[in-house]
This record gives sequence, C-alpha cells and structure tokens, in this order.
Amino acid sequence: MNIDNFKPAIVYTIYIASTPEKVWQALTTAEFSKKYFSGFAVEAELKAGGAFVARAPDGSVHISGEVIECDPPRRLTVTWNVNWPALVEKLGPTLVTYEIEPAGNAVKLTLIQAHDRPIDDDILSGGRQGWPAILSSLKSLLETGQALVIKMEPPQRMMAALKKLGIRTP
Amino acid sequence: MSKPEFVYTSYIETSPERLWQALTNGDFIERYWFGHCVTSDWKVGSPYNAIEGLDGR
Repeated sequence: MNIDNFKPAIVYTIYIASTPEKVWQALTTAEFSKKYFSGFAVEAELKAGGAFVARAPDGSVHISGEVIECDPPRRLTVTWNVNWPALVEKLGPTLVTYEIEPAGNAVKLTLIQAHDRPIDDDILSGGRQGWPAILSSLKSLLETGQALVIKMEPPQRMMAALKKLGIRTP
Repeated sequence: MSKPEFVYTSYIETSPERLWQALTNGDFIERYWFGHCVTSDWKVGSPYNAIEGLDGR
C-alpha cells in the first residue's frame, strides 16, 4: 500500500499536560483505551506490518488494520478499517496517524484521518463527531486520572450516508 | 452571516456556567490565553477588545 496516495480528510490537534511516552502508551494499550474510547480495547503489534485491532466491549473485532509506521513515542500510522460489511470495498482503506510532539510542559497530539479517494462530508461527519470526544477523554484521563463520561447521539448523518452506499451498519 | 472556515470541538469536564465564565471573564481568559487582556460587557452591539499580553511574546 502506497501511503503517498492518502490525503488528510480530518485533522484534530489537542494539547495534553503529559509526556510523549504516556500519550503513546495511552494510544496503544487496551488498559488505557478501554477508559477513554467507549470501552474499546486497542491491541497493537508495535512494528511496521504488525496487527492493529480495536475490540468492542463484547470482545468482537470492531476495527482492524495494520501498523504502517511506528516511531515511538513520535508517530504511529495504522490502517483503521471498521469491520462493517462492504465498507472497505466501497470507501477504500482508512489511514489514521497520530503525531506526538513535545510542546513546553505539554504534548501536542495531532490525529490525521486520511483516505486514498474523496470521501463525502456526510460520511466524514462520523469521525468529525467521534475524534474530539475520544481525544478529549484521553486528555482528561492523562491529566486527572479520570476519563470523561460523554453523552453523545449516534452519528446518524454518517449512518444514513453509509446505508445509501449499501454498507450495512449495526 | 459568513460561512465557517474553521471549527474546533473539545469536551471539558465542567458545567456550561463555568465554561461561560472562563470564556468571558477577563481574569480567567488571561490565564489560558497567553496573558491576553480581554474587555467587553458582552452585550450585543458592545465593543470587544483583546490586547496581546506579555506572556505570549
């Protein structure tokens, strides 16, 4: 897979009072991800070509992918494919990059969601809604020891757009 | 009304009232906006001024 063909569709930056090592750990281990990512367990084999998985609380694989770039604690790129039937076939793979940079007594975390083709705004609305919640909760977890309890409506606009494309969602 | 060019969302563990205060109280703003001095009475039509502080330079 040539990642040069992927263009950023969503970029979200957040500053966290933490260290690059702790942010890296929070992004790559289930122990942390379960707390800030709706109970999802991230399992990452931290080397290029390694497996990347996020399991739902019932143990089923919700997101699966491959580690593309792994430069701890600076940069992690994975394919981030939601396991809904026909999703990858219709939309192509999704690439997610985390960039971690020291910034004074804080860490600058940048999330980049990239695609190898134009993706409709209705579909991107899911990520635009989800990433701020996930990463704000990660920030709170690292800064206070407690993740956020966020009440959020399901991403209806994205679900409707996926359905229109013939992608079955739960 | 012009169209939005930049939108940023963040979730904060607080109440709407405390967040409103943080966005509108000059002393509060100074602490997180690199020393900027902000003045307004926040009434529709009132002037709004933000003067760069010393911390951000």
